[in-house]
Amino acid sequence: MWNNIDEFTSWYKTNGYPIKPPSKDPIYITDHTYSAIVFRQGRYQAEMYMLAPNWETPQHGHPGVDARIIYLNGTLSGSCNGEKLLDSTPVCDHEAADGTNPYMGAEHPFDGTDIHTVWAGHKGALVIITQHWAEGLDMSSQSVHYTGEPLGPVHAPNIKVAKCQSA
Amino acid sequence: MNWNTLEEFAKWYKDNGFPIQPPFEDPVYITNISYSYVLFREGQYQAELYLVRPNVSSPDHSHPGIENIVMIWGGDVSTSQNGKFTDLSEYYKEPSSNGTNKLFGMHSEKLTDTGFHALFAGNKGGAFLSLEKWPEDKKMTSVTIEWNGDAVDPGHAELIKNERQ
Repeated sequence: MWNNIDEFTSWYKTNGYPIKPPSKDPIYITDHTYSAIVFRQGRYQAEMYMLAPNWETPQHGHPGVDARIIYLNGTLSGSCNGEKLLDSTPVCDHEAADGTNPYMGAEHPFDGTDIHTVWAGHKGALVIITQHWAEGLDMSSQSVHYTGEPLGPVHAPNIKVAKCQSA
Repeated sequence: MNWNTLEEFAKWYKDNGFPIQPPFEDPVYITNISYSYVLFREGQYQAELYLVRPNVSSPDHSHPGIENIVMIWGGDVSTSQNGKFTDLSEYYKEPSSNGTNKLFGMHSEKLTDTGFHALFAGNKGGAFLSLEKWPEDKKMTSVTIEWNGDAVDPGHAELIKNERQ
């Protein structure tokens, strides 16, 4: 149905963020985030993250998972391969005409080889991360399929980096 | 939109595919057992999504002045109302034919503030919507804040105290 993560992300946004959570997945928790898979079809999925206020991830990656982080609300920034990303904090006092955040729907690409960080400011944040998982990876959560220092002692034991099956 | 009742709002919200339009001013609401976010608010109605940690329960509580319907998205949560436990675990053993939870989109009867309820999450935790109608004289926030009963944890008690000031 989709040829790449951008096609899926465009479809997902255009269709109003469809919700169809797969039954098998639990709620994924770390020291600073709760997340749920809210849509999955084939190798594509959408994961909704709620982020606690005032923390930042270590540098990390999700090998083999191309992703687009879609900002919905809150105070959020981060970096990708050393470059700072969009920072929603400066617009925190200015709501859009429809009562949402002016940046709602803004997205940033993270490819499967990128090393990045995520930073949450004083309101925490709500995002949906659309994802394409390479063939052979066991699909779960980005907080599980994670390389880098863990977010903390809650996160550490949940990390299980899946390996692509060799050809 | 003009909904006359919470039940009308709940039906509209589900029939329209759970619209996501988070109100700008609300932060993430946090306790030791859940994170929640207001996904939609219009007039005195709102939809708040709760993600609940696995293997936890809440104390008995109510939400003064607020009408409340719980609609399940996923996980394995059961509930009690006025001390009567409703075990939903049988529904969580197999997925539905489309891969979702068998109770996905199913909802509770309307909870009023005259009784107490509690939540019990199993190995998967829980994802559910709290669909709410608030009285006009209250600033709309979260039912985590408008909470009557023992707090979930000391941080929750502090949150209730601070937000109400």
